[in-house]
Amino acid sequence: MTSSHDNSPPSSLFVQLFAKHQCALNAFISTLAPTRTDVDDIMQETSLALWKKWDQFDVSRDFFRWACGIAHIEVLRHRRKSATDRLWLNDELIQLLSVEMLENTELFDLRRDALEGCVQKLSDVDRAAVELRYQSGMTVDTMAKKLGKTPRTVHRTMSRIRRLLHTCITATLRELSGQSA
Amino acid sequence: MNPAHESNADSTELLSLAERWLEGVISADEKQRLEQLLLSDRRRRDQFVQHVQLSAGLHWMFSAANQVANVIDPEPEGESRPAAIIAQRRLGLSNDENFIRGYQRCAAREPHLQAWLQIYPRIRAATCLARGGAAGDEQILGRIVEAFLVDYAPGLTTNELWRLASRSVLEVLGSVPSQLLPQQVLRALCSATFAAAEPAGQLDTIAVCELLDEHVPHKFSPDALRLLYLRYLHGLAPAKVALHLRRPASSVRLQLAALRLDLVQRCLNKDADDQQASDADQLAWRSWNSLLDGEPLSREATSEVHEWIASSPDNATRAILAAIIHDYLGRQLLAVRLLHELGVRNDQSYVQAVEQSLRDIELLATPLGPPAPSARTVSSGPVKLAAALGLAAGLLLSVGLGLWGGKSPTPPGQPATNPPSVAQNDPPAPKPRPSEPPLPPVVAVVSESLGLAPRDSDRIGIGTLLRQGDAIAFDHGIAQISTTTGSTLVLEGPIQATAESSSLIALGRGKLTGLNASRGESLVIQTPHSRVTDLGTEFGVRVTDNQVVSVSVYEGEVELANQGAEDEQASPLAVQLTAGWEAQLDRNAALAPRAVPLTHQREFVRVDEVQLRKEARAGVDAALAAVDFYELLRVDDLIAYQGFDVDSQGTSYTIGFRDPPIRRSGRLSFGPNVGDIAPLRGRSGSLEASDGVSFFLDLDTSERSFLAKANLVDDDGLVGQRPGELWLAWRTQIVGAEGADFDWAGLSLMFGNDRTTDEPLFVGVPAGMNAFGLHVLPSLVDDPMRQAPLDQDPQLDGVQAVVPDNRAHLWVMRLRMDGDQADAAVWCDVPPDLIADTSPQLLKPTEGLRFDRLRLEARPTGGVGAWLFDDITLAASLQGIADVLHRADSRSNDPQASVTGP
Repeated sequence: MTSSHDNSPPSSLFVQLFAKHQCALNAFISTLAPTRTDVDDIMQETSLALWKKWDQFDVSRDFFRWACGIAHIEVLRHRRKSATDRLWLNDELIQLLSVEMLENTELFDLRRDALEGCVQKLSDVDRAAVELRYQSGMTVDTMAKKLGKTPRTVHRTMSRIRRLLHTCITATLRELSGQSA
Repeated sequence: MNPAHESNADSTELLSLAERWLEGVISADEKQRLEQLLLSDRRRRDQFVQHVQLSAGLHWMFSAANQVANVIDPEPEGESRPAAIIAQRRLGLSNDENFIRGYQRCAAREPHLQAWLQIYPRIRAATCLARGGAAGDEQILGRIVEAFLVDYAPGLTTNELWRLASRSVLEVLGSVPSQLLPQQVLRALCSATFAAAEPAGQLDTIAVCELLDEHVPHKFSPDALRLLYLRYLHGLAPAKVALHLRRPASSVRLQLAALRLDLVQRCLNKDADDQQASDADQLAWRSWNSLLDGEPLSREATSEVHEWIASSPDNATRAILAAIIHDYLGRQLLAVRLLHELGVRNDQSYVQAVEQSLRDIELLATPLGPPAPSARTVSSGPVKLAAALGLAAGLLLSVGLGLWGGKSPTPPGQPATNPPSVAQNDPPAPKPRPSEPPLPPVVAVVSESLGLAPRDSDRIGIGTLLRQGDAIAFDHGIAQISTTTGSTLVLEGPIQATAESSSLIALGRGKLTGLNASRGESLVIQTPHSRVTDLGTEFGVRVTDNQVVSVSVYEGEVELANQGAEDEQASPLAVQLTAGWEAQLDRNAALAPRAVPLTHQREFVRVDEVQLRKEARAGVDAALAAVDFYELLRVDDLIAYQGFDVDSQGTSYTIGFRDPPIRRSGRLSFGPNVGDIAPLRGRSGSLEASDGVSFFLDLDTSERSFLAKANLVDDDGLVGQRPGELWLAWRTQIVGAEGADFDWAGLSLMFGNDRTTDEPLFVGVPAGMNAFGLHVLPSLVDDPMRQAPLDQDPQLDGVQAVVPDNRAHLWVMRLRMDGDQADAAVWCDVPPDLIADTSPQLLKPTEGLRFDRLRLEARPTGGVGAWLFDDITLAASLQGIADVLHRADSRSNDPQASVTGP
């Protein structure tokens, strides 16, 4: 970033906005990229690009939309050089999903908020499985070895937990909307 | 294919593919299919994004190690447990009183709740084994649960909980005479089944039930389907199944054992033949299956089984799993389920198996006698058989067996000319009964009934068959019916309706909700002068006594069209309504009805509320509060209510106020409920006001608000200038210090936040007064008496002032508004039903009244003491106020009043 621009927005605002939206931005990228490694790489590239272009940012605009636009470009750029090409969704879908995600940002924010509450409602055992998978970053195979189960069992367990969380989130939102009916 | 099933199947496939994509193990073909599904439908893309973002959210959440500690912190006692609540629904035990008793006791602790979800199915399975399905199982289960609960304490560790379960089972089943399970086998089984608190491994009952849900019955082979229905729906022992199928009994036993083994292996994530079973294992497995089928074991077999269970934890797991599956099949293999799942498969052999199973139902029901319209309640048979009979007969008679074979339906009453082919070893079809006139086809079955009067529940009990042309009428309560085309309707009493067909209900008077899940077939509600047609949606229809029809749409789209009898040539007036809109149609309407936004989502008892009401009857707190709230929403003339739900800090179970429901200038604090009984149970508290902190409740004056519908909102979004009457009620109580004085304390009507200019009316203890009274804004009224006290007895000379004390008080205020003139009448501690005949304790004319918010505030003179405010209620009539407050009173006389029906 060049700081010579007299009218460029202050750096502190960038830090503030980026911190506020980075979780949602990560979710946006995760929906378009196939693996965690890809997501992490794109997130890093996007952060850098946002910082480089910060002096062009119009503070009256929506930061998240602007960031998603840049993230979308980074997704396409990363895809071209990715070693996991076979896993990438096609361009048309990436475009569609990007647009539609931006139409529903409020809903996804609500769902993310509800997720935290729902994780806290999981049983100890299910929470432990989630921690192994997401905190320790274990693959299913590693988890299976550690737990002495088959990978298929671990897959099913994780699927069940994700379904439970999904149901819980939906129920939470429904309850919220019903109670404020 | 049924759209619901198609959607479910697609959804399952989509999520499975999304999982594989997330794990990076998706094949090229699978990815292509994923892309195809996603490109075809926005809803699928939304579902995919939600699923992927859930995973991303978990990654994000857990990427910071310090967050883990927060996640695993135990939750405070009594907090709601959505995870456990959701999980228990998967077990399908919400009607089981013994399950609910334990669930309620364990509700204070999430680990105990989760353990109970694992323990109870095991208790059922052990009881099932010991008793062989004999009568009285429920009492034995009740005794085990009782023994468990006697020693239960919230402080138990999870391991102690499991040991307690084991002890309770051993104690009760060990003392039951003539039980099938030999003591040594029972001890070995309990030791293996209840020893470990680790539920998530091979024997997670939630996962087992989910898997069984996926497989039963549509993933069975046609042959297996029929066998299992004979065994479980009809409760036939293997020997009788063999007789019915004209096969050797040993072959039936072997097939049952193989089917159970298949399900067991699926639950364990193993292929049926991935383990080489020894001869001893096979023998023991067969003996174990004999036990499941209620056949006592020989001494040798007992010894083999005992050795088999004791020799390996895997064998013990298989043994109890088989019993859990056996119990599940007994509870879940209903004909209704069979029919609901029919759309999942359409291959000819499966269809024939369904047809044959339906024939079995007809054949095996013969001893019960032919069903007749006058004897619709089959009280002598189990409920599920009654439902099965109804649907089977309905399908056989109404559409003929050619429905699934692509043939034209046979007209009702005429025998099918081309009966479907059946397996060679099937018994002959029943002989026709030429002397009996054909019965009208069955079009629906009553699947739930709540709170019906005894005379009505005899006619409309669960399992009652509804035939074409049957009238459905009852005075109060709720009945839910499932039609043979897959729709569900919830009918609320008082109602008069007729089941014209499986997709046409004539509604003469009353309220019903329809949930159309049929295969693209419209569900039509015919009212005396209109027709409501929908497709794949959820909606409510109400016909009042003077034949005004109201329609509310919750999902999808419906058409409301009049059918004026007076001018049949005229083209019908119609309106298309989408989700979130409602409309009314008057009998003599000359114009098409106008669609308006729904004020709230609960005008009608919807299908999901039926389940909530069942849970409320069982005493589940969250369900009680929700059902009470939904009932409150249905009070005529209600405009707003705030009961100060403690758990949600006043944001839940409130209506008629804008977000945030409570604005304040300081700390938010809640106190106990004011008054003995709250309109909402379980969660209600009160707002504690002190230290001069202002609490604002902003009224919803938007276009779809109750206030706007009552025509009380002017162009500036304020109340007070439009002519009309508004009633307010609220409760107060002083707490915190004996004899505390207050500079002022009470409720204000305001149109801004500034007390000096925006507060036209205040009720409570006004500044400078040591009595209950009222204060009007001085700048608006040229009145030296801008403050006035309440007079307890206006008939007596002088003012009998009401001095503040520590008792709970109920305030009711009537505002009569007409342009710039208004008056406020106040009653304190006068029951609402006496107010109409009681002079107000204070009547004060005001000018320039306008407001859009309430302020609650108390300023203690010495800084000590507080006012509690509760049950803030606004209604367009005194009756509305009385109805809200009487809900609590009526419940104190009949605790089930609000959960059984309106």
